[in-house]
Amino acid sequence: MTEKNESERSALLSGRPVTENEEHMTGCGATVCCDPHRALHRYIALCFICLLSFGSYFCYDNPAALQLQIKQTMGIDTQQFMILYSIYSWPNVILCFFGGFLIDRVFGIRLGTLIFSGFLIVGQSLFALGALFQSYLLMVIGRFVFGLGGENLAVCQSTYSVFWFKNREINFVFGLQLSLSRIGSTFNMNIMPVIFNAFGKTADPYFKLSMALWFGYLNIDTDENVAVRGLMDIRASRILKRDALETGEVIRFRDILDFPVSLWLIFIICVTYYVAVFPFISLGPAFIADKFNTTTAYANLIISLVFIISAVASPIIGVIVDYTGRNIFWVALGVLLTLGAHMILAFTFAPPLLAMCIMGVAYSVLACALWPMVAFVTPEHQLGTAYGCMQSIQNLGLAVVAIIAGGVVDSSGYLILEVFFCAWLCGKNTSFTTCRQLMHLIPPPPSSPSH
Amino acid sequence: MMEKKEIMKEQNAIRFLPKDSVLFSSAVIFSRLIDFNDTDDTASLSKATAMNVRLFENLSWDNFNLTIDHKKHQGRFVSPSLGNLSLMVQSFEDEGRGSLLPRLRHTSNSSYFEFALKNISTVFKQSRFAVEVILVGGDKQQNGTSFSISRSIADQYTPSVFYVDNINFANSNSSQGGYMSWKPVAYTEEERHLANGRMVHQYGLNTTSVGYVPSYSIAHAFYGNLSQLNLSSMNVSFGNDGDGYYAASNYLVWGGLIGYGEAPLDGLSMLISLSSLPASGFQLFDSRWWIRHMS
Repeated sequence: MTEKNESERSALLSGRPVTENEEHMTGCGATVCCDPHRALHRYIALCFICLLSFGSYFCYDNPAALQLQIKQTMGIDTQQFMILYSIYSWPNVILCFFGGFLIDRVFGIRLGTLIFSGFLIVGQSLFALGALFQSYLLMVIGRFVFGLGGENLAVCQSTYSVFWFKNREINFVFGLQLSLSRIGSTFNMNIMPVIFNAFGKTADPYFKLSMALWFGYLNIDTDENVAVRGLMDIRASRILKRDALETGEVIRFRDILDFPVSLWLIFIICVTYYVAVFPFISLGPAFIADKFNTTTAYANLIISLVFIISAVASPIIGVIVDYTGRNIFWVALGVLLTLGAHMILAFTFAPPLLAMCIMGVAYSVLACALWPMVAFVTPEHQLGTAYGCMQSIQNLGLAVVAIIAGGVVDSSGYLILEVFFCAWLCGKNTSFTTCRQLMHLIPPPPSSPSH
Repeated sequence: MMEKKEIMKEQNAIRFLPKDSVLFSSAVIFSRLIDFNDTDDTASLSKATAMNVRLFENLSWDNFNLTIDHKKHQGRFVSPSLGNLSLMVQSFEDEGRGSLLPRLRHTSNSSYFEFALKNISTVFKQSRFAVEVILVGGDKQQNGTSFSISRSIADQYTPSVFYVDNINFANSNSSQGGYMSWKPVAYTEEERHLANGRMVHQYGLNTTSVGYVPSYSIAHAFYGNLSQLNLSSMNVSFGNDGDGYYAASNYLVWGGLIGYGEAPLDGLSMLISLSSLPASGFQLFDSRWWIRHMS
């Protein structure tokens, strides 16, 4: 009876059952690609989300790609050059937290995305202008403004992804974003020097540098992207009645105290895992070259395998995690594999290629499974704050541990450094043990989207 | 000058009594300083485009006795001829480890040497330095002198250095031979740390003849006729490609051990209080946990 009724009321065009309280769509608004209920429509939104990931990472790593050119053109030393990065990351230790809060409480996610993209655009412009006007200071300011936008935009991205894909392909989406950001970084590394050189040897170096950086600007190109996505989101919210929560709840700053314990445990896993990977990536090339007697170029290649593999594997692993659910299991597996990779590097002379491949896969598994988990344990109206918090804590951990790790190498060498990283992964109250605690808190598989 | 000549001429001027109390002997002679032009910046002596070789015995040397420190059992040969070139030697009464990098482990059977080049005037624009050592092993019938590189995962005493270069002097009369061993790292500043570490390259052992041995070496005085013995030489050079050549630092120091028996190696002993690892590491292999969460 019900079956028959439903099939009679189905809209022929969309070929999908329509429920009572739905807004009726007609014309092209109801076609497969414009109907928010349909997968294709979500995927179009996904394209825009990914484009922004690509662009912001492309620009984030601009200085690294042009390290030599920037140092020579601007006449700065390595330490001054590194300021271009630290001015980006240190403020974000605190800013992300506030950014996430602002997204939840003040701006809402659409306006938030727009504002933070604005920072990104202004920042990159100032950075490029700084090169053109031969002002190092302006470049630093540019990077600072860029930083105000960059990390907060990542929080927006995560939140957006959850709104659009929760309970569907969420792990895949996070995997794809990770992949796109890595591709952005890699593309940047290879294309920027080419653009710089494309203007020929006679051109004014300041002009060349600036032009290269403006090319970076083209890649963020967020105006339309954000606008289109905002419109899609408004429409989808109206049609899918998704806004109910956003208006009803009053959010207070001390919400952070009400975060469930499981969310804090996720934060702990996040910080303890990433401090065992990112500082290793930056110290790794020298370690590989010294221990395995390779050239610096080969060591760099070996280390960058982590990101190359994650660019390829993340979407695939995301699909697998989506299909199986059991995010915590995957997180634990990611931690364990990373630990294995570190131990191979520390205690054997096995080819580093092997260890780095393992680490690349492990890194993808972890990233795909960990970030979406936040959405499973956090109410939607706190998502921004939760992701902001996570990003802040991660930044703080990385900033502090990067310094400590450098000190460990100087005083005690790479073996102890590797043991230090292993301890972050499987010590008391670190990644692996926290996974186990988390498992006790959330006994059943946290998501079973496809069954 | 006269004095030197007489010692050299008088064979067995240096000897230990009773004669058969000497179970094993070997000698390491620092013979030549090589200043080479590294035009391609490869840091490799074998790709040098020009060389300027100086015999250490032709340099003038300060009075060694003034530098002796009896408490530390050490002294320093200093030559002001080219700048400040010095060779420090030290012996030990018990086991221990150097306080400065490369922090080599020593025993009472080993002596430490440290070769330093400070503000040495160079001949070329892209000068790097190498030093030649001549090695006197047992007599010719024996297995002789060999070179090997050993590696270790433990770099906690000499950060970033995982290899040990080892010259081994065989001895067929007893199980114990001798060695000269060093970690392939030199430092370019007096305050040594990882960042100013540079590679020490070796170019393998070459068999050599008596004529090549500096004539004023006390090896003549101890051994008498060197032609009956295993004679080899080895070049060792300092620097990394792209480090700005010797001129960038105007300082180099390289240390190593010479001794009787086996070279003391850094083991994994007391490595790392893995204290935090076993406790929780055990959980990793708790199969029940994995099975529970996979099913």
